[in-house]
Amino acid sequence: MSRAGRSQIRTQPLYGDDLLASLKGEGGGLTTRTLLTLVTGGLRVRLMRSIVTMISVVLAIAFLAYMGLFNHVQVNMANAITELENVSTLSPAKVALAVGEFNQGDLIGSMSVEDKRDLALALDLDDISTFEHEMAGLDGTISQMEGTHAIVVASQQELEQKPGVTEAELEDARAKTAASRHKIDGAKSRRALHANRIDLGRWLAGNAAADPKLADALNAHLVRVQSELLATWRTPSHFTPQDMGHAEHLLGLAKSEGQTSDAAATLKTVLAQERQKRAVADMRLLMRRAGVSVEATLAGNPMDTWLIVMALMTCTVGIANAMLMSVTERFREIGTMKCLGAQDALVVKLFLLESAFQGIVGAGLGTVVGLLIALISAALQFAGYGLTNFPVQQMWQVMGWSMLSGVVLAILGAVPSALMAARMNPVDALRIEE
Amino acid sequence: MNATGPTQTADRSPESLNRDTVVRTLDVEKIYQMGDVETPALRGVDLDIYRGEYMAIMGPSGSGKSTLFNMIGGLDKPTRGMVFIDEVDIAALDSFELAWLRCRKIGYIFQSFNLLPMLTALENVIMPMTFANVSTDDARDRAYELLKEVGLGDRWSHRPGRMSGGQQQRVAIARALANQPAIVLADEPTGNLDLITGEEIIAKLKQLSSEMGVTVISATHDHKMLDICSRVVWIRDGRIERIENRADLKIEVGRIETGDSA
Repeated sequence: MSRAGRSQIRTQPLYGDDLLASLKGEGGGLTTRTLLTLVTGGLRVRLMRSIVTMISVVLAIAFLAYMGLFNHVQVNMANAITELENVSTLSPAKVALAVGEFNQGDLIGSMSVEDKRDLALALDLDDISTFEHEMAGLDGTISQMEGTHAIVVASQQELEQKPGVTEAELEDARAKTAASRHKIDGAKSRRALHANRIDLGRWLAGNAAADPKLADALNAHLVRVQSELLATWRTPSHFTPQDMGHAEHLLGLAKSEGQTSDAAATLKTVLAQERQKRAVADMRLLMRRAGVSVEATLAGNPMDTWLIVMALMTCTVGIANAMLMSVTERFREIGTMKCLGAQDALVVKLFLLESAFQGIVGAGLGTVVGLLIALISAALQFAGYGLTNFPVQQMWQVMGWSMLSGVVLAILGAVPSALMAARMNPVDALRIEE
Repeated sequence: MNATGPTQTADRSPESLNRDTVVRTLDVEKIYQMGDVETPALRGVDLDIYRGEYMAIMGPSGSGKSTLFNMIGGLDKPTRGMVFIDEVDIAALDSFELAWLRCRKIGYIFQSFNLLPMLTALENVIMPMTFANVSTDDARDRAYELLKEVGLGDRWSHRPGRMSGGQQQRVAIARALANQPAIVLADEPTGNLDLITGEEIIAKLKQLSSEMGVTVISATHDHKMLDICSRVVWIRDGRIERIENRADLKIEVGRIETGDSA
């Protein structure tokens, strides 16, 4: 061959596909590249049929991946529901105390005698010495504050009567007064809380006897109080941002006033529990709407398995059919190749590879489509819960298995036709007319 | 190598006595089993074909012509008797070895070209060489050379769908010669071509086969084909009716006559 001819071949893309070009230069033997040319070439020539076959794989594998992922979503949700339902709730008494503290003592005053006693017992107010000590301290602080406040008020009044005072200066003075007043109010409310506790504790010390009937009455009272409290924070079915703001505000107040974090913690827990309860209710509702039973999901659903098996079998039969068509259509080609010296093993390899190629592309697409459908339907059916419960850890596993089964089924489906092609007599290439 | 076959000494031309035998059939019988019915296709054929010869096999349909043709091409095994291709008895070969033999010893040219539609002209020519484990670079170079030989050097990247029948058949010739076979089997190579293209193909085949010293065995009814044959074998009812040398044939336009009626 001339030098020019050589360079002409080398410089031009010898094999259309970049895929094959990258495999170039392996040299020797029945290269992978030749196989790939034949396989991809076969797919290219019969593009429509290849696409249709691939679509059947895509659909089946998408279904498989979707079912796998969505089943995980449901299981995760069912698990979340049972988990949340099993969380022990706070004692109503504690909740009531938190409420009472934030209502600055009004609550305890309105309680019946019996309620008081049970609440005091629930709050461990047997020993009230700490509170008494703290209250004494508070008394001193408050009287100090009152003194300071009087000075602040006086200076403000003085400022107001002075001529030529700017509005800004006045504003500043007023703010100072308000802040001082606020401080005193805070201290007073804390004193009131302690007073309540001390009252309760003293009262408890004086009425040691217990009566079960009264305990029931207390419980009912506390539940009512709790629900009233919650009603001020949220609409019956959902927390609104305002509710959340309210709750946060209360918590912030508790912190800034140095209140015992007990009440704040209780409030936090109440909030969290309310959220959980609402979430459970919502999830149950969504599951019911989607026609999914929590219990059946946890027990495993045989119906789904059957559906998946059916889909995969249909897919395999479809592939087998397509490959049989491919073989019968290509009798002449196969015969020609055998005449030219192709071994039976090569023919088998060729058809298995062709099918595997369809399987890989189809299963790859199918897995992605299945993932998308699972994401979308989880989001549509279970709203945010579907996405928060999306099986991120199991996702790769499910997708991997779907992919693998797609390829394996594609190869399995092609086995009969590949064997048929390999067993075929090369003479047929000469016999069969177009 | 013994040039004298066991039979047909009468049919042998004097110059053939010193030539190698490339294909030899010994009392070949082929019986096709169709259910309970046995259909004999060949009933004892003895034939020697020499290296570098250009031979035509003729006969009416059902005469066993195709069977003999396939047997010589290593596509079919005889029920009885022996077929030697390049000194190898094909009846003793398993399918793997048969494929090996077909790949390296025999080139095929089909009536309907039978190029693989998904491969380019160059890839089509490369294919039998990859079957024969020729290195990729060598195969590519040789394939390109062969395509230039058949006048398609500038069309190596075309797929069969974009080539005319004559061009396809020329690619097929290049493909048949790719592995430097001992024999080329051409089954009605001009059957699907118009007269002028057929003539070109025949000329090309003749030229290349004589250049490379390849034996060409052709089943044909084409007069132009018979015109360049060194010998013609007539088959009838599974037997060789007669073998004629080129000199004994009278070929005229439109019909063919034999010089001596057997």
